[in-house]
Amino acid sequence: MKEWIRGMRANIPLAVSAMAYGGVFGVLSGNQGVSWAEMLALDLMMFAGSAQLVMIEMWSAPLPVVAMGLAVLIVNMRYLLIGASLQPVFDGRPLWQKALGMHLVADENWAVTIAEHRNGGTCPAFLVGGGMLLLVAWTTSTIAGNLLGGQIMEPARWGLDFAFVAVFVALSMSLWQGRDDLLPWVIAAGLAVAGEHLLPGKLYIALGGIGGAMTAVIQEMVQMRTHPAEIRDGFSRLVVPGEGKTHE
Amino acid sequence: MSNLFHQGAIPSILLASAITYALRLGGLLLADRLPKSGPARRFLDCLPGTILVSLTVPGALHA
Repeated sequence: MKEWIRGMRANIPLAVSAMAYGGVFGVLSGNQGVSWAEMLALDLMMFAGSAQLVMIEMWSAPLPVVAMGLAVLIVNMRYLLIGASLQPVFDGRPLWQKALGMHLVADENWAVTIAEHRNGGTCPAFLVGGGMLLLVAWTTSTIAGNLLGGQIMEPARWGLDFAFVAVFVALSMSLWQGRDDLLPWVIAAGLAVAGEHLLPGKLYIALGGIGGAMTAVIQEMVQMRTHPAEIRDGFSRLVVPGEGKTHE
Repeated sequence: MSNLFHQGAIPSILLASAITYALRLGGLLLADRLPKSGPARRFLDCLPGTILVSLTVPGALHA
């Protein structure tokens, strides 16, 4: 099967969840006075739900252009890390594939793609297929909500919110690489929960992501120093190529 | 046109879209320049898990 079709199929449950959220969000945008054309431009050009939500909350003419830009920078800072983490998927690919593919990166297809990559490899087309499905799901549902208004039922959303969390928990499990991940993940969770209360926007995701990954680096350095032989034998994937030979 | 776009809407949408795209592509291009082994590699290897945990845990606690 073609990779982009596989990517689409793998993202179907998350696209359904995104449509439910998108419908409610579209209604909200209509209530805030956002026109369908403005919503369509945001859906296609920005394609980032939580940042769109923040912008819509600030939507009254004349729009505060710079303040909105800053808010979007804070909310979407996590995409810098998400982009960095996709390096193995795009490794060796031409720049045009990176430039086109990265526009279609959302939290959902990113997580599905990374999990797929860990379980036997994948390619940018898998990511892009998922991204196209999510873009269509997101755009149609938000525009429908914007145009139809309150006719869309809100309670339907709750069960799907739970589905969203369940899928993400399942994906987390597939990213687990072994007990060396325990401390970094605990630190990430702690920093994210604390950061959610202390930091603006969605900066808590970047805080947890960076703090957890830094923990992994420090942990590895400490292990190298205390048990160098064990590390070389047990965790050869972590050892610098060629370095093992110089120690022998 | 004036009915479809509020005053300031077009520059706002363009700026916000440019910032978001720069973050997405910028992260990937920065990671391309990092060494493929050692601490930087371990950092990037662990990053998907820690980002996903940070995305999920606060939301799951509210649910």
